[in-house]
Amino acid sequence: MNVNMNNPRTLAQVADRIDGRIERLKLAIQQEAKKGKKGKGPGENRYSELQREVRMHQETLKQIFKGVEKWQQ
Amino acid sequence: MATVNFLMLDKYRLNNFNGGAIDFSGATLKCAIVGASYSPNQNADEFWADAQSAEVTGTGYTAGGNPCINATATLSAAGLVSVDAADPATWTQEDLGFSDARRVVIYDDTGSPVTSPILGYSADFGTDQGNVAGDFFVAINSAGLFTSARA
Repeated sequence: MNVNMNNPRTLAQVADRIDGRIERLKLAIQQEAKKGKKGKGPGENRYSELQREVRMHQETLKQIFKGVEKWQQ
Repeated sequence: MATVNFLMLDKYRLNNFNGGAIDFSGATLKCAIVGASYSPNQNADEFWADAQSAEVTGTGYTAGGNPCINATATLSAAGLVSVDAADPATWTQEDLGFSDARRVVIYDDTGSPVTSPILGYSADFGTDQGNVAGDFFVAINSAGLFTSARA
């Protein structure tokens, strides 16, 4: 576990964590799909919660890459 | 940035085989921050009630800690079981925030401290930390909270 001491992590560290998390979320989504698990409540289920987190991380990664490209120019 | 180890409680490991396993699909994992007065007993501690009295206080800190949403236990094709969850939300900078953080504790919040099992805690940060001088965040290792490899 990494715990900050008020110094931001490097972008590479952030990207590494997100990459690993996405990988495990995708595995979890596959495993949820196999179980055919449904619903915590109306219109909501664990499957879509996991997918939402994947999308959120993918967007963060996109922003990181955009920032890096901009910085390199 | 300090990188510290995550230490699993012995009772958490034991309870996985004694009817006390946490179903991660319905778990509410939380990351709480505690001060130096928490002296973990890795062999005897079991529930959030064992650490709660050492919890930090300050503006921006919600008692009980911040949720680590979407806890997952996954199995890779290579046989690696990984336990992970989303990082807790950052504790943003506050002039009247907390400044005595020494460890984080990850537990499953059942609604009652005496029945909320602790999975583990971080090693001591070494020095007092907080959200007074700047944001304070906890980032779980890129490999997850912990893993169990094929024997």
